This record gives sequence, C-alpha cells and structure tokens, in this order.
Amino acid sequence: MNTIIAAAIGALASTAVLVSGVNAAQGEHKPVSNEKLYSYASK
Amino acid sequence: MRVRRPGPDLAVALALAVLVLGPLLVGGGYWLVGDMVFVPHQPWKSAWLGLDGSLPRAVPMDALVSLATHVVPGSVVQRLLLVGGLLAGGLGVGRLVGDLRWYARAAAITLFCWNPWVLERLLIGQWAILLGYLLLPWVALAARRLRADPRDWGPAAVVLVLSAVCSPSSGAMAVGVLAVLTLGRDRRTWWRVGALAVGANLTWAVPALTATTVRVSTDGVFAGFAARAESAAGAAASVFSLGGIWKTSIVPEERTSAVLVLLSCLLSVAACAGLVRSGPERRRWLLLGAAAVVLALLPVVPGGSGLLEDLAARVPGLALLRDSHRFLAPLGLVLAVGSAHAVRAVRDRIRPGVGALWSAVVLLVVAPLLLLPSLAWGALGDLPRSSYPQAWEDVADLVGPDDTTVVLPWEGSYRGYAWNHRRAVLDPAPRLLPGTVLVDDRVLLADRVVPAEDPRVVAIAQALADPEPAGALRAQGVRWVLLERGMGEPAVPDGRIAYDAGGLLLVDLVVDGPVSSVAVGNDRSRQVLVSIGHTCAFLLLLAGAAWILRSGSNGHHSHESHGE
Repeated sequence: MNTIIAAAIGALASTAVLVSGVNAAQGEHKPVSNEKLYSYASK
Repeated sequence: MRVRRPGPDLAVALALAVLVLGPLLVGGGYWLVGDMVFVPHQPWKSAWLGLDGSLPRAVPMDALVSLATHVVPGSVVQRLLLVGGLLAGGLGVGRLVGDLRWYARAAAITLFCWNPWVLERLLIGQWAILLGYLLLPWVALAARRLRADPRDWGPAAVVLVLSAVCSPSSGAMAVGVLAVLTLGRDRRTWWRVGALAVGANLTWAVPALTATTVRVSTDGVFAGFAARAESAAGAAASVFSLGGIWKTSIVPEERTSAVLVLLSCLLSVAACAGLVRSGPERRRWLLLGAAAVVLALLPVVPGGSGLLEDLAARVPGLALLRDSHRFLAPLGLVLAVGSAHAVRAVRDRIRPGVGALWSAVVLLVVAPLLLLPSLAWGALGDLPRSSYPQAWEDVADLVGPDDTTVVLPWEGSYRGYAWNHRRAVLDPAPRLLPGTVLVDDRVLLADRVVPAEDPRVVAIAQALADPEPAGALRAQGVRWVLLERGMGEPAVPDGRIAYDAGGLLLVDLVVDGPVSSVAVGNDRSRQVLVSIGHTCAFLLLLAGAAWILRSGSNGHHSHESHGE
C-alpha cells in the first residue's frame, strides 16, 4: 500500500514540478515598443 | 479547544514573505508596476480624503500613505505594507485553524499567501486590495467572536474599518465575509453587522456618493474586466483554482498550461473535501466560496456582462463589481481553511502500513509553491526594483501646492518609463507633484476604451485639441504642462520651458497670459459631510480597539464558537 501511495503522490508532485518549472522558465518580459503607448492592459 | 503558539505560523509566514518579496527587501528602490505607485514623499492634498469632489479612487489610503511618507520614505512604506500584510495574513489564517497541528496550519498559510490570485493582484499592482485580502482571516475571526457573543463587536468594527481603508471593494468584501460567517436567525446580530458595515465604510462611501465631478462609466466595463480562461481548461477551471484575471499580459506562463490549472483544481477539490470535515462551520465556508466563484464568473456566462451593465446603469453602486474577479478573494480564505482540514483528515488516516500518507501531507503543504513557482523572488525577476530619476524631484520642487499641472502624453494614465524597465505603471505625477495634477483618466484596454470619469479631464482634452492650446489650458486654470518623454511625440503647448532634463519637460504657461481661477470641489456642505464620514469611521476604529483592549483580546475567544 505504501508503494502505491508513494508512487501516486510522487507522480503528482513530479508532474507539477516538471510542468510548472518548464513553463515558468519560458516566461519572459516583452516590453511594449517605444513607438507604442502603454495601456492598462500592458505588462 | 486551545490555541497553539504562533511561532511555527510566524516562521512559515515570514519565510513566504521573504520568498515572495525577497528582491524588494535586499536593496533600495521601489516596485512600480500597474497600480502600485509609491513615491519618496507624497505631498498632502485634500483629494486624498476625497474633499475636492474628485473620484475617491484610493480614499483614505492615499491620505495615510501621504502622512507616512512625511515620516519615512515611500520605499520604506511600501516594504512595511507588503511584508506586514503577508505576515498579518499568514498569522490570521493560522489562527483561524489554530486548533489543528502546525503542519495543517502551514498548509492553510501556504495556500492563502501563495496562490494565483495573490500573484495576479501583485502583478497588476493592486497592493491595497491585496492588503484587504490579507485581512480576511481576521474578519473571519471577528465573525466567530460576534457569533459566539453578539455583544462582542469590537474586533468586527476594527477589521471592517481597516478593510474599508484598504479600498472600497475590500470594505465591501469584508462585509460580505462577516455577514456570511456571522448572520443567523438572531435579528440583533443583523442590526449590529449592518450598523458596523455602514459605519466602517462611510470613509469612502460618503466621498463617492457626494462626488460632484465624477461620471462613473459602465459602458463595456463588465465584459472588459471579466475573468478569462488562462489555459485550454477554461475560465471556470481558472477561477476555481484562484486564477483567471482579465489582464492576460501579466498571467504567469505556468498558468497557461491546462495540466497545471487542472492540478491546481485538484488542490481546490482536496481543500473542499477538507471543508466538509471542518465541523459545523462548513456550510458557511462552502456558501462563502460558492458566492465568490459565482461573482467572479457572473460576467463570463453568456449574457452576464450585459445584465450587469443594465443593472449598473440603474444602480450606481454596482459599478463596484467591475473586475468582479477581485471578489474571488474569499475563495482563497475558504480553500486555505479547507486545506488545513484536508491535512488533518489525511493525518488521521496514517497508521502502520500506510506511513507513506505523510508524503500526501507534505504535498498538501507545498503544493501551492510547486504549482506556482512564478510567485517566488519578485515573480521570478518580473518585478525589478526601480528608482526615480532626480528630474522628478526637481520638477516637484518647481510646482506649487496651488498650481494645476497637465501631464502629457494625453493617452491614458499608464506609462512605460525606460528607468522602470518599461513596465506599465500608473503615472506617478499625481502622487509626486503638489497641487492638482490632471492625467487622461480614460482606461485603455486591449480592445476597448473606458471613457474618462472626471468632467474636468474631458475639458482638458478639449483644450489640448484647441488651435491655441496654451490659452485654452490657462482658461481651465492650468499653469504647468509636464511632458514625460520617451512615449510618443505629443504636441506641447507654447510656454516658457522651466525644466528639461532626465526625460521630463516642464512648460510654464503663465508667461503668455494669466491663469484663470477655476473653483473645483469647494462645496462646503459636501466637505462637512465627507469629514463626518471619516470621523465616524475613525471613531468606530478607536471604539473597537478600546473594546478589544478592555476585553483582553488574547485569542481565547477565537475558538469558542465552531458550533452555531
């Protein structure tokens, strides 16, 4: 039973770490170009 | 039930605060992003109390920040508010589940302080609304005391006033949470909660209701600010996992993954399952969570935004519900409490042979961090510190407290300064410069424009479009025009150049003619009414604090009434 529990929890945790880690690492700031004025929707 | 020592709660909350705010704490400067604007010294203006008849956007928080920056620099005020808020929120939610073991409380603190709602509100710069959210556990604690003893109104008065000080929506949210967690069949409690709610919120409600120079627009705002689907999992999944803000440009990358959003929903389901075991309060918690989800999703469902728009056109107060995603905040509290009870439920099942269930306990505690790494260390570097160029203080020294300044470019009030890493931030000029500072207050969204709400701003727009803008501006009482360079090339009215350096150009219009005197917001009776509103709220705060001190508030009441 312990093995099943550990495997299930491990799978959930590793999926979360892998997917979130890869995605978070891809995030980058893209400034609005100089010519364009900023809006409330801009980052 | 006994309340455990807050040491572990403090350690967890402090660790989270350092992890979130680390870059801000290790150096000088400011976080200037979205609506989060702090300046070194914020001069006092009657507008900070809503006495000038303008739209009370941050009344009376701006007044308190202005007073604070007379004592310490704005950068210190920003740090104190953000760190203090996270600590208060963490300790509050820990106290709310104070009869559970430290790791269950840690699960509650982690989920409450570390979730998409917190990150998205931080990145949109709504720090005051974030503070209001972090006060919610204390509202829930006050509700417990009020339910246990309807005469024990002191804590409720204090937290309602503090919430109302944060922002109007925080004040309304606190009233909602208090009502759901307190009200029952006892009519006296209804009257008490009603009286406290009105008294506490007078501080912003009177300026809002008596504002003479405001035209609140509801055209398209509900659709424009409706919650969004961050991933292919849909808007409901985003909202149920505490995300889904309208401003998609600040949504962290991992929230665009359907797998991550669904895993976050799994955490929410676990928390809801924990709530079912949370005792007699569970129905109130579930009702509160459901109400928050419904409010956030209302503009998303077909016809929802149109319905809200129609209603808001008839009931002015409903405009408060624009960006109703912010009212998802109580769900964060509900899920945090549920998470703590879920941990307890798992712990209760640990027996020889199933010791691996401890890993589930650990996962529940750290899951919010694993699912949202972008909240760590200043949004993983997305929130770099900035410092104002010297030019801003030089310009502030030239402008007098009775002057009126118009800020260019006249294209919305959000700027992307090179010195601020070209992050969109609310123009700091109204807070940094003395006197009246007029900025185009239209809200420019990706696909629509929310019209200006201040008629004087509309008049300035017409003056700027005049063939002789300098004279037209003088007729509107404007002496100075401040051009913030680096964002377009707007035409600048003729006048004497008083300052030109550091990206700022200050033009004095008075050399070519006198500036007309324009009386704004000088309605004496209105000022008296607004002052009475502030005084009532302040007295309620003092009376509530005195009540707490008199009754020896040391937490021994806080768990008397899990039952109803």
